Amino acid sequence: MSSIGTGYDLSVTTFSPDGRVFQIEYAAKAVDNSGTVVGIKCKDGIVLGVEKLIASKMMLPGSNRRIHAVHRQSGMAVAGLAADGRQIVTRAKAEATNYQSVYGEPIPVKELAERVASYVHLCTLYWWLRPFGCGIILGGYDRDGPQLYMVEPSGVSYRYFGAAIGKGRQAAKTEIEKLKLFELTCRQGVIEVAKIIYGVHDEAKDKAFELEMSWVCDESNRQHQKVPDDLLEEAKAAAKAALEEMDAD
Amino acid sequence: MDVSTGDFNAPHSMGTTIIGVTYNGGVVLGADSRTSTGMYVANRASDKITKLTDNVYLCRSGSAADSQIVSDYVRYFLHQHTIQLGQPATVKVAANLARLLSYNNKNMLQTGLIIGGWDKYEGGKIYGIPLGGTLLEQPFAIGGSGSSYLYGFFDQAWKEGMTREEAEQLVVKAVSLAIARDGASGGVVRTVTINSEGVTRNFYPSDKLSLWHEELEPQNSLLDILSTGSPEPMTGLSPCPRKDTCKTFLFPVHSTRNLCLKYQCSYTLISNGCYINPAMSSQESGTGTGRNFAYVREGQT
Repeated sequence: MSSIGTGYDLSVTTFSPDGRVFQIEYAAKAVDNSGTVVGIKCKDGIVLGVEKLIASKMMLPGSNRRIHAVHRQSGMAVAGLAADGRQIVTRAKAEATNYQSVYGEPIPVKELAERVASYVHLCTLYWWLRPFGCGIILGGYDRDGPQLYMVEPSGVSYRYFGAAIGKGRQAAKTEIEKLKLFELTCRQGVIEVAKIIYGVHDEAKDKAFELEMSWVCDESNRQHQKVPDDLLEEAKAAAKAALEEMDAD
Repeated sequence: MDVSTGDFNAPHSMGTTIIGVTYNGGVVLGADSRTSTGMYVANRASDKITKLTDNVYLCRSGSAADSQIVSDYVRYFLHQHTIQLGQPATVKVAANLARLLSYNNKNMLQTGLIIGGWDKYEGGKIYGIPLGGTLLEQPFAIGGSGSSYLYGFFDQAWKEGMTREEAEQLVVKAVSLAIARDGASGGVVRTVTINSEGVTRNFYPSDKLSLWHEELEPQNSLLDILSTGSPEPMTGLSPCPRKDTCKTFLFPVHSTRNLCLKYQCSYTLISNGCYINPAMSSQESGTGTGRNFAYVREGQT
């Protein structure tokens, strides 16, 4: 999978002979090495979950949030270089408020995803800018229902039922595909996402992690917000129980 | 609609009557057709209801140039927006764009707008954007100089959840009432009805409108009234086969052989309808009044 593009990988404005831009691919690798981010679209909303790897025991729980609210009805979870992610979130917030003031309605999720993707792509076009080293999972609930988008460092964005990026994405995707998303409510979805993240977390390589989750659904009044604490605890407990069950086998 | 230049401190009135009304399932927009420069009627058949998108239309009042420019800009922005969105724009977005232009350029513009349309999320909606650039969503809106005479009328006649026919008749009646009283409104009444099925344009010429209190029937000349009595029913003349269904006479024409303007046929317009009279002038046709034109009115034979 990994190949070395000797000589053709020094600048984002250089193509290799087989038509690849290596700098963008390396940027994607920065995403692959970060904590897992999972997003699913349930029948009544979106659930986002992040495996936030804790670098130091001195860090306050709840700080360094990886999930950000872009607008009342949309939220964004970032994987990869956190500082790059913050830049993209700021831009997304600006786009959303600008759309609202010009068009008089909240920005549709599709429009927001397209604008974020254009912005990420923009930074792959010039030699004096480096590409963003982060992947984004964007979830929102607008007039056309709940929608989930993923934006990659290359600037492509697709709409998904379920998406995962980061270290444990392969295993997470397998787990998501097992779920019957059309029948899940967000309440159940929260539990499932917690189970997936606990499941893909590699105890050997990374010690501690914090689970961060958010949702936009009918229950949250179509607003993006942190999953309520009691539900979060319930989800964590269920996830730990599921892990033990697996280990017991 | 160009206001004569003069003292800017004097109250400016907008020569127009525009109306937008919601009904159960859509909206009806209506307007008169007079564009005046001072006392002169520059255009007696103008179309003040402009299309922004397939499902959103705009009624213009105030300065003709200002309202045209604003509507051109809104159409341009809406078109781009529709392409990006991938589906028809909502009425609210159209209204917001128009409002931003009106508000941000309020020192230079003098135009009152009524935006009406239908979208799949909210159904039929009417938004009024008066002079300063306020945006107000209303079940019905009136604007222009002629609207001053309609506030009381609407207070009484408006009701929620009308049918399409009721709404159209209300709009036509209201514009015609305003035309009767407002010197800066006149001509014909145009309506545009927008609902989930699409857009329908209607046209009501002045002779199809009811006459109100003390209004005279249109005459060619007062001499005609003086010369002879009322018209007699035709004898020995055969009626045009389209007489009963043809209701769209255009403006009356002064000539001795008044051809039916819709079909340009040899049937002459006479007061009770069209009758064949190719060789005779209207004097000899036996109308007795010497009227050179005729019309069909609602409710009359």
